[in-house]
Amino acid sequence: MPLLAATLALITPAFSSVDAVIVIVYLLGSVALGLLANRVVSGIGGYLVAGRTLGTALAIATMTGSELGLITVMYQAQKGFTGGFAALHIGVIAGLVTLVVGLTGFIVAPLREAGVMTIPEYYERRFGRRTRILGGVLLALGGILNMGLFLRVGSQFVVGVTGLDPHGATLPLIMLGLLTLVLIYTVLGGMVSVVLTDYAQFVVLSIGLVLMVVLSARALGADHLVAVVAERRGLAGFDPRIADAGFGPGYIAWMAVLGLVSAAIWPTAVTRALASKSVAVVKRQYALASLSFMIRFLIPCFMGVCAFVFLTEAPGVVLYAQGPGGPAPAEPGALATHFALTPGGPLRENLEAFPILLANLLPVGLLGVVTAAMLAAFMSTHDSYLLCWASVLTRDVVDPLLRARGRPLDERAQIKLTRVFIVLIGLWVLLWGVFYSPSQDVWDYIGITGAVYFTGAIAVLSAGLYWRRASSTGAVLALLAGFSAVAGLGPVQRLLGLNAPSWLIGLGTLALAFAAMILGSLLAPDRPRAPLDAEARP
Amino acid sequence: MIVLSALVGAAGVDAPALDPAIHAWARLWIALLWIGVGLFAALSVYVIIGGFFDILAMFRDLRAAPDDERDPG
Repeated sequence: MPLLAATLALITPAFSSVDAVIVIVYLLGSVALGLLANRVVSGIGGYLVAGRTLGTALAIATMTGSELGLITVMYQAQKGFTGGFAALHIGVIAGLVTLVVGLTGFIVAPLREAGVMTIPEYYERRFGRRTRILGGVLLALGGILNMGLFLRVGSQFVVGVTGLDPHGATLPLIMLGLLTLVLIYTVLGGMVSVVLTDYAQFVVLSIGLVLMVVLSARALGADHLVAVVAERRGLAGFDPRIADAGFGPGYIAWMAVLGLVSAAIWPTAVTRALASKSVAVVKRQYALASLSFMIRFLIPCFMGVCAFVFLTEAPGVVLYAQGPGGPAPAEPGALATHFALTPGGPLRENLEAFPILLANLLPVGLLGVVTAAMLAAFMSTHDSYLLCWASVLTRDVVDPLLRARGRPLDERAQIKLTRVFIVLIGLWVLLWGVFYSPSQDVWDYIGITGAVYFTGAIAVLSAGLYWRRASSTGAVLALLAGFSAVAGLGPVQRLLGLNAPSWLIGLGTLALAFAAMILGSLLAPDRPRAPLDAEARP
Repeated sequence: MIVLSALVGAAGVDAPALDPAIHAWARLWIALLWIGVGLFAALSVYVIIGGFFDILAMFRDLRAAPDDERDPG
């Protein structure tokens, strides 16, 4: 490993002014592109679903852009860092499940046929207004909690790759800067702006990802990576069925659920289906995008493995594992959750291992391109999420409440309110990023916060679309049952005296939601719904 | 499956001292990684070219919307 010997003497990020210029030009270009969209946006349909004008290629670009975020890259790299090659199963499962959704059109095709703009809008057509409002509240709550760590993790990437001091005001200032850029073009341009920037970000991101994995594999060597992981982790570093690496059969089942959710239930992905030209485009879009859904986990996991090997062999770097009395130097085979660059030096979070690897592996110029790609991923996810949750709050919570009082919002008011919510959610994410310290892997945090919404939503959507006897009482009970997933969050577990893995809480909540849906529907069936449908149509 | 087996065989993990189970898993993961990267590269070319024309069509459609609905904010 000549490159290792040459580069590992110093773990010093080599972010140069050339790289900085590339990143700044890219970021400003993205904002300009987003602002361009403001000229062509017309009406709420244009603002929220781009007038349903997306073709297949553009729909794939924007879906990949929003679902392959920097947060995804960072948390999957963390999974590869702590779980070894075994973590790659997450990507394979996600790709397969998305392919099945594309081939069958499960959930997404009938939703597109229904012609709704948001998932709770479907709830109202099928189950009535109270289900829409409750679904909207839980969706926004789960979604906003879910993106709570995005800004913090994105900023940790910037810190890691540039070598800035991670302490003091650095992190909050980076968070503020990144958030401001995203807010400017999302607030003004809506979905058209999001689609345009997603396309530009897809171009940079796809090139960056392929370059990153090829260069890392060439520099470190596949044989060498395998040998080091085998020595440090044993079979658990390769076989995901072994629970020692933090996986096991239950975890794999949970990944299959998350794969289905990411594709067919998660609103930021489903919004792309709802914005597509036709059902045929939706199916083709999902079948092809299954590759993106696989790659978005596969490459970052592999990069995490590379970061682990890189840091394990770097002179002067000490890996630490979390022990009962705090972090302690890790034995071979232990999961390294923290690391120090020098013995006795300050601990770095393992999230920073991946950007530190990039900064030491990539040459000047290419580091700038890859960093721009990662920030592209950051922005494309943020803009989609902000727009999605804000539009849910406007259209699925506030507007139905006002409509019930005979004062519905007109289109202009809806867009204005959506913009206000975008800014408020952005500020909340900033505060959460500064003050919340995650006590579990970021991927597990994301899975469980998402479960607050999606465990109930899977039950409600699948029963609503495919079971004629599904009732509004069952739907409300299922949504409420899904909220119990909040027990999987670290602080809530400590409060309740629980110590259950997130996959167990997630699968348990899912079973509870389906049971509530079935029992509620059987015990309290709806009256014939024809008048409700007519009344509910917005 | 035959294609996958052939690719796994050609994945090139050359570590004879490894436990056979580790060796087999390693070859599978490395093969899947390169298959995924190759397919993703091909998809990217399609999306970059096709997406450009989709953008032109989207702008055409949106500009065709009535002028009085434009610039709602």
